[in-house]
Amino acid sequence: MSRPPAIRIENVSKRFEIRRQAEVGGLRHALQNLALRPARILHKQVRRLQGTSTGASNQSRGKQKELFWALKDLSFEIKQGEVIGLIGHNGAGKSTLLKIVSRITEPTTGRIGIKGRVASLLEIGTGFHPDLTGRENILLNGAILGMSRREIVSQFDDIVAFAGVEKFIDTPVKRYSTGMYVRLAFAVAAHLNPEILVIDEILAVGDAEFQRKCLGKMREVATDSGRTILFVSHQLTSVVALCSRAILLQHGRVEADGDAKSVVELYQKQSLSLDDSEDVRPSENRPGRGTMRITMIKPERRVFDPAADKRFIIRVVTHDPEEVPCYLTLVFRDENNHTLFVLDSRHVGVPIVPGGASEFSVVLHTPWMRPGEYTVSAELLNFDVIDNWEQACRFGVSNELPYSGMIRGPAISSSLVLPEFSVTASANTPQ
Amino acid sequence: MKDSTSPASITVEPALTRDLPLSFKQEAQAEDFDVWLKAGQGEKHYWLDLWRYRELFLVLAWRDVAVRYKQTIVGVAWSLLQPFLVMIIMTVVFGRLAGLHSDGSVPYAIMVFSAMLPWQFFANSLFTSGQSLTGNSSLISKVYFPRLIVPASTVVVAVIDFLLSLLILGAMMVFYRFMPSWHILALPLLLILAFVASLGPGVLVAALNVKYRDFRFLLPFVIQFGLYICPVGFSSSVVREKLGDGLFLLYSLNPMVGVIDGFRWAILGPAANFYLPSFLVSIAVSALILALGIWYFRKTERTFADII
Repeated sequence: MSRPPAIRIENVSKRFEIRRQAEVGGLRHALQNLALRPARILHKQVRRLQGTSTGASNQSRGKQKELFWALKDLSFEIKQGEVIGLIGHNGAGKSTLLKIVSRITEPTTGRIGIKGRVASLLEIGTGFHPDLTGRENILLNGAILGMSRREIVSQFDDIVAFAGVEKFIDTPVKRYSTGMYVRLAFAVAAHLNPEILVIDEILAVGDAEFQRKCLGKMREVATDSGRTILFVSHQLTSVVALCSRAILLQHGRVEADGDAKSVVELYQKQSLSLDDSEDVRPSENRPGRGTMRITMIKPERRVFDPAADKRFIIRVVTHDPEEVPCYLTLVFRDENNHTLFVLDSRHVGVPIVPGGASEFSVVLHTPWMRPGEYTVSAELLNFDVIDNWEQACRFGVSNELPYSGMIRGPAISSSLVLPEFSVTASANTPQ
Repeated sequence: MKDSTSPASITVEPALTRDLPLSFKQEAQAEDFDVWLKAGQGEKHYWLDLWRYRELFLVLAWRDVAVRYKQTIVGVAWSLLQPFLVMIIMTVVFGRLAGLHSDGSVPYAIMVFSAMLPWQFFANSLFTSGQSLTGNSSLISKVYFPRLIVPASTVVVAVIDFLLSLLILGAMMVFYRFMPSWHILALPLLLILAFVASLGPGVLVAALNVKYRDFRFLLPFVIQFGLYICPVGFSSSVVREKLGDGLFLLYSLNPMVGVIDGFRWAILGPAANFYLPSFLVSIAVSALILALGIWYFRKTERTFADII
């Protein structure tokens, strides 16, 4: 308790204006507004004289701009040296909070006190230029992240060694493989030395081996020298591994705050409620002809056990009854965006008939899935795309492995899915 | 193992001690923290902050220079070729075909080129700085730094082009056996003036372009147009003779008129047609636009990340 605070968040709210595509102002709109301003002011004055409130005019303007509160009245304090995991569904306000703490955007109300230098890693390789060499990009990226030239030069060899790109250090990064690129970008970030480090989801990159290396580096950074870290991740296992405390955000509010393990367990236990729709965009902005739309995809549980049947409820709505029958595909991807498998409703002979059934239940019996976070993208198709909903829902798979042996480790983390298998002795060594 | 996760033993509940209203705790002392971030609060140490980020300014400028001529065959020569070719066209069209007179006995080509220097600088820096914020949108939305660094650093590329163009001027002076007077020593000061004159609109357009992408289309048009409005291909004395002094001052509201006349005064020497009141008007307008640009930039920069 005696440790002084590093970040203090006081009643912070953040509001965004969502505008419909067609109404995104543009210059014409602004000029129009400017031209009409005298008339509007006059109008207001008249209203004031008449004693009526301006509520009506506010309302008419409210139609154009939809207001959305990404954060609502958030208050908490982070002590120096704490490693905090920030978890929650997409759209819960995690990234917005990080952006405010890193001074990229400002709160609509409330205030945030910060003690110490803040470095933020909201994206891997921010500002990397494809035409510059690895060496030049280290310099560039380091400066962008707030390192001084001296710091960069003194750590240059460590950075290159950590990324393992010694041979290609004078090659333009556009010739790098994705893996090399990501490794170099993370290596620069890992050598930052601020008092407060703000990190968004960047561990979800690279192959399993590099991820382990990153996690190790993060742990090293977190434990030494009492650095304060604010860390957003969907990989709940790394939150538990790295953080002493976790904060669960929901709809821009603090839902739970406490010891990392308990908060993560609470989060996993929560089942998705209906209003937790992932995609805030209206469905008409999605690709496809739109004669039918998927309105909901909901996993039965937020977290399934690896070997359990996994049920998903899917609702569709028909806008044009003239549409011909179509079929549904579901793409399952893991946290590294690798496609695990694709379900096609034709395989089981169930067509989606316009104006017919509006709710479907998809049950996944096999394969067993590895612990982690997954997304499901859905498509309705016949001769072309009717609706395409990327990352329509997200679900987790728990750590309750279906094997009798207790060993975890690389065999699990390097597998895409988990096999059901047996090993039995079938012959003895002849004596 | 499983029991430990039962709700009864969870120490976390929706309303927690750390989430208490802050009035419950002792009031935070302002001096406990280095900064307080809140809405509508201008940076307290705006210029100091800008100075602190000077290294980033240099690195971004270096990046723009380093990237500029990657994967081109002619490379840096593009910087020389462009103004040189425009100068030749201008000399032929205005000097030969239209038969306009030069300042004194100065070769028409040198007179044109002495205006091409600041004009090219202005056009380049306005064009690149005007689009700099939208071009660096990933930086703006992912990292904090004083945003003014971005448009300002792009001007460095224009400065380097300017210095390269000076080489052409030198070559032309040798070719025409033209000896500049002591006025040439004022060139650095005039470069600063050109910098001010182009940074103002550059900063303004950069900020406006974040919200209204219309400026991306407007900018090339304005620059093309400006080449003919400003006294680049002809001497401003031609305009002054036609308009008279009063209207000429009005013409000088275009800040580049004063900058170009200043450059001609420095390069061509006493032969140049230099009219001090017009020069002062242009300086004042430049300063005004710069102030306006920075004011608008500071007013809107806090929302850049939200709308870019």
